[in-house]
Amino acid sequence: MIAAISSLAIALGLMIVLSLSLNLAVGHTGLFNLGHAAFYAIGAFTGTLLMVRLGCPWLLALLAGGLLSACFGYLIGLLTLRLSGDYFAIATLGLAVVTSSVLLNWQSLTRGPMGIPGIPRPSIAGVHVAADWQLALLVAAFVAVTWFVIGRLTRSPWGRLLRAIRDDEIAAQALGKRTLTMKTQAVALSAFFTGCAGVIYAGYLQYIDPTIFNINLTIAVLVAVIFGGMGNNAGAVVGATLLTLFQQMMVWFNVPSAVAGTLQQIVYSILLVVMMILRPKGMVSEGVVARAMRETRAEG
Amino acid sequence: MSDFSQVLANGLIAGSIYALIAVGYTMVYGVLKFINFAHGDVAMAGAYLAFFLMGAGITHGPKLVVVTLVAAAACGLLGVLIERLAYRPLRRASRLTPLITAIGVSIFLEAVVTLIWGAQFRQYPSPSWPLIDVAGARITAAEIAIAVVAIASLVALQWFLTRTPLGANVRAVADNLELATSLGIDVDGAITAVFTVGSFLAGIAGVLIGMEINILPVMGFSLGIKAFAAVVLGGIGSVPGAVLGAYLIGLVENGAAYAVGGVWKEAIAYGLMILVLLVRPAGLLGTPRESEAKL
Repeated sequence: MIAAISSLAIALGLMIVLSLSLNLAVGHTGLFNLGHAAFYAIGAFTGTLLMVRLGCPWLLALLAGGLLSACFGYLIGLLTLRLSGDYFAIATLGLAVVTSSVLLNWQSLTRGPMGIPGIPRPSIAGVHVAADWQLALLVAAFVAVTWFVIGRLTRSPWGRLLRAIRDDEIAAQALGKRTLTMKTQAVALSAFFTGCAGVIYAGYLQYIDPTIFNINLTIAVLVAVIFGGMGNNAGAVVGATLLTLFQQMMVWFNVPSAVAGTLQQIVYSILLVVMMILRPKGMVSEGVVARAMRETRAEG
Repeated sequence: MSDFSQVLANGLIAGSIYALIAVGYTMVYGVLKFINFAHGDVAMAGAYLAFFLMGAGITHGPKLVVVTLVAAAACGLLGVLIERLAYRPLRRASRLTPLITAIGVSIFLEAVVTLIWGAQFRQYPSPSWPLIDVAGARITAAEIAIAVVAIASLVALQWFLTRTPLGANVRAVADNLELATSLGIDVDGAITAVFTVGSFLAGIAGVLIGMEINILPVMGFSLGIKAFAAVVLGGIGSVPGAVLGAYLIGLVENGAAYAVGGVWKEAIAYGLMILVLLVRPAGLLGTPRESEAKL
C-alpha cells in the first residue's frame, strides 16, 4: 500500500515539475517548446553518467544535470528564438529528435538502446534515500522548491515581462526590453528544473534508456499544461494531477500496457482538439487566477 | 561509381515520395499559415488503407492502380474531414492554436491505425520485383514506378495550380486571404481544394512507401517532419520549393546514410532543417516576407 502510494506520489511530483517548467516556456512566454523531453533526457543522462561512471555524489549530479540541461536550453534559445512561434516549435521538435538519436547511437557513452542499469538511489550528506516513501518525500520537497521559485518568478516583474512578450513582442521591444534575452532565460530556467527532475527520475527508476524520453512524453506534459490552463501555475498542477491519475487508472484497471498507450493517445488527442475549439485557455484559465489574485490583494 | 549511382537513385526515390507529401504541407501553410502537423499521418493512413484493400490479393497490374487511387481518394476525404471538424473552427485563432490541434489530430490518426492494425510492422503482399540496372544502380521496377508516379502527380499539381480556375483561386487565397475574400473568391472552396488535393497526393505517397518498405503507425510522425524539413528547405508556402527541398532531403539523407551509417539518417535530415531555419528561414525559393511574419 505504502509502495503504491509512494510510486504514485513520485510520478505525480515529477509530472508537476515537468508541467510547471513547460508552462514557464509555453504558457507564460508563449514559446511552444516541443522538445521538453530532450531536457529531461539530458538531465537524466548527465546525472546518471556522473554517478555511475565517476561515482559523483547525488547532489552534485542533480545540480550538474540541471545546469547542463539549462545550458542546452540556453543554446537552443540563442539558436532558435529568433524564429517566430511555429518555426520555433518545429525547430525544438527537430532538436529533440536529434538529441534522442545522439543518445541512442552514441553507444560508447550511453550504451544506446541497452540503457544504463544500476543507478544508485539518491544520498544526501550521508543520508541514503533508499525506500520509495523516502524518495517520495524528496520529490515533494523538490516540487515545493519548484513551485515556490517558478511562482515567485512568474509573479515578479520579470514574469510580467514574459507575458508581455507572449502577448505582443514588438510592443515589449518598443518599451526597450531585451526580449530575446528574456526568452532565452525562460527556456534555460525551464530546462534547469526539467533536467533536475530527470536526475531524480533516473534515481527512482534506477535504469534509463533513451527511448523513455520520447515525443509522447512531451505530448503528455503538453496536454497537462494545455488542459490545466496555459500561463497559470495552479492550472499546470491541476493538469498534471489529472493526467497522472488518468495514467494510473490504466494500472488500476489492469489495462494491458500495449492498449493503455494507444488509449492514452486517443484521449490526449481528443482533449487537445476539443480544448482548442471550446476552451483554448484551459480549465483554470489565466484570467480567473489573475482576478482572484487582484481580489486577494485588494482585501489584504 | 556504382555506389554513387546507387546513393543517387535511392535519394531520388526517397525524394519523390517526400515531394508528394511536402507539396500538401506547403499548400496548407500557403493558404492557412499554420503547420499541418497531421499531414504525414494522412500519408500513413493511406499506406494502411491500401494494405487493407490489398488483403484481397491484389499485388500488381491495373488493379493495383485502382487500389492506389481508392486509398488516395479516401485520404482526400479524410483531409477534408479533418479540415472541417478540427481546423475550420479555429480559422481566426492565433497560429499556435491550430498547430496544437494538428498535433492532436496526428496522435489521433496514429492511435486509431494502431488500434485497427496493431503497432507492429505490416508488409504489402508485393511480388518480388525484377531488379534493373540503371547506370550502375540496381533498382526495382516498383522504384521506377514510384519515381514516375510521383513526378506525374507533381506535374498534374502544377497544371492544377496554374491552369485551372480553382487553382487560380487557391493561389489567390494563398497570396492574400483577406483580399481574396473581399473579391468574392470562394475561400472555403479553395481551402477544401487544398486539403483534398494535398491529402490525395499524401495518400499516393503512403501507398508508394508501402511498396518500398514495411509500414508502421509511427511512420507518419517521421514522414511529417521530413516533409516539413523539405518545405522549410525550399521555402515555406512555395510548391516548387517544396519539391526541390524534398529531393535535397532525400539525397542528403541517403548520402549521409552511406557516409556515416543509416542510424544517423533522421538526425541529419532534421539537422539540415534546423540549419536552414537558422541561416535562411525563408528557405531556398521562399520570400522572406512570409517567414518573418510574426504570430
